[in-house]
Amino acid sequence: MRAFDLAVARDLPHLLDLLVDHPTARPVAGATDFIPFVQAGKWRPDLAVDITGIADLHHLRSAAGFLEIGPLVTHGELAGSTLVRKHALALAQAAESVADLQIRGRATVGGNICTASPAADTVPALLALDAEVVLTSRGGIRRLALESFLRGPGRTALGPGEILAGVRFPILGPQAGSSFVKLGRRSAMAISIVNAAAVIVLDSAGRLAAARLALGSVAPTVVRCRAAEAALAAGGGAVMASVPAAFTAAASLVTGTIRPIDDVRASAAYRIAVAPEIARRALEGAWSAAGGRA
Amino acid sequence: MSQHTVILVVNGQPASAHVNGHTTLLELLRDDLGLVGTKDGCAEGDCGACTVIMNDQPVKSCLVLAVQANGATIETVEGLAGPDGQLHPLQDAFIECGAVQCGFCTPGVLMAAKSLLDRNPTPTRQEIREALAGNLCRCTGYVKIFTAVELAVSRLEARQ
Repeated sequence: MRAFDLAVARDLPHLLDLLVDHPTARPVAGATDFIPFVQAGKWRPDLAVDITGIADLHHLRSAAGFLEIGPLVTHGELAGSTLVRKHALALAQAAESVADLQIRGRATVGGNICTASPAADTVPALLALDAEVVLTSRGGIRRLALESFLRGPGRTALGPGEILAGVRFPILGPQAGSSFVKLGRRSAMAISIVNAAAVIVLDSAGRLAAARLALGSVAPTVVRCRAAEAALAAGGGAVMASVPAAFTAAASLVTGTIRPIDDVRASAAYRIAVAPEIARRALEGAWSAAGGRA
Repeated sequence: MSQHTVILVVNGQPASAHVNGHTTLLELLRDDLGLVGTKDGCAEGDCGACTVIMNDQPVKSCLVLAVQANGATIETVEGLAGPDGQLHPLQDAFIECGAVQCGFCTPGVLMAAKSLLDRNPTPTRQEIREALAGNLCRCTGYVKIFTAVELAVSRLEARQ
């Protein structure tokens, strides 16, 4: 592997100092993207900063109506958390779908977000859950919608000296549910060809009140599919009359949002062909998790 | 290059090494400690041949920086057999079932299986398949590997 220096951050203030003193330093945690990317020459850090010992970045809690997740929480921890399963099933399902047991035990949600892969699995779930990121630097804290944080493949809104300190989203009410669906070549160690996450919120009468849908691996970033969301919200009570048809119709609208490319995993044409079905399954899964009945 | 001292416990014995920042746990085990039972397959986390147990969790040692293992407890395939050389039931079962052909993936498969049995002494076949999903074997087709793990499970159960 290409040589680099390593510093071990003792705590958050130490990390923020290191990032100011070394503007090109790259934080490293689970290293499951970092090491292959350095091997491949995609990343060429002179200095890596190990952040795995920073306890302040490793929280998972519900507070004031939000689920708050530290960037060092691993995919294995997300998948195994009863809190995440109860309040954000899509996120647990997404975390569980990543790579294999060994990698899920190391790979962190902060890495999945900041690597900014269009095919990241936790990101569609977080977007559908309306997540925001908390960014910290020596200058202070700012919050940003996750959707605005993601700027393109491998590109985020992280500024110089800034670190992702957390991600949080509002806890869904009891009449709501979420779901994540992934299409890959096999059920382990596969990068998504298309993935999708949905949230469905019902009103007190059990009618569909709101829907959120996000798709991955079909555009330069993971994308919200607002046309499909709007169609479902506008349908309102009418959706009830024919749930399967309403989800099929709404999911077909994702082709207007996505801009897939040909890559080693699949062609753009294939992605356009399968994306509506993956979206439909996510919507139906969220509907059923919300307790919706046709 | 930054230099670091890593102190850890490997197969029950204290160990230490001086490493660079970019040294991986796999390199520390093989090159510094001479524990070459752990194999260097793809060096990018795909094949699982370098799987070891770190703090009771299976990891791909090619994806762990050596410095990140400072203070950790590591189990490698060299620690599976007893001090008297008595093979672990998993190793016996792999031999009996023909679960080894070229043998290159075997240390990683054994450690992933050992870690599974530590967490779940009576796994179903599906649980075995999931626990070994990150370990590639290009010889056996996996069936004999799953059967061998099941044989070890039944023998360990009979011992209880």
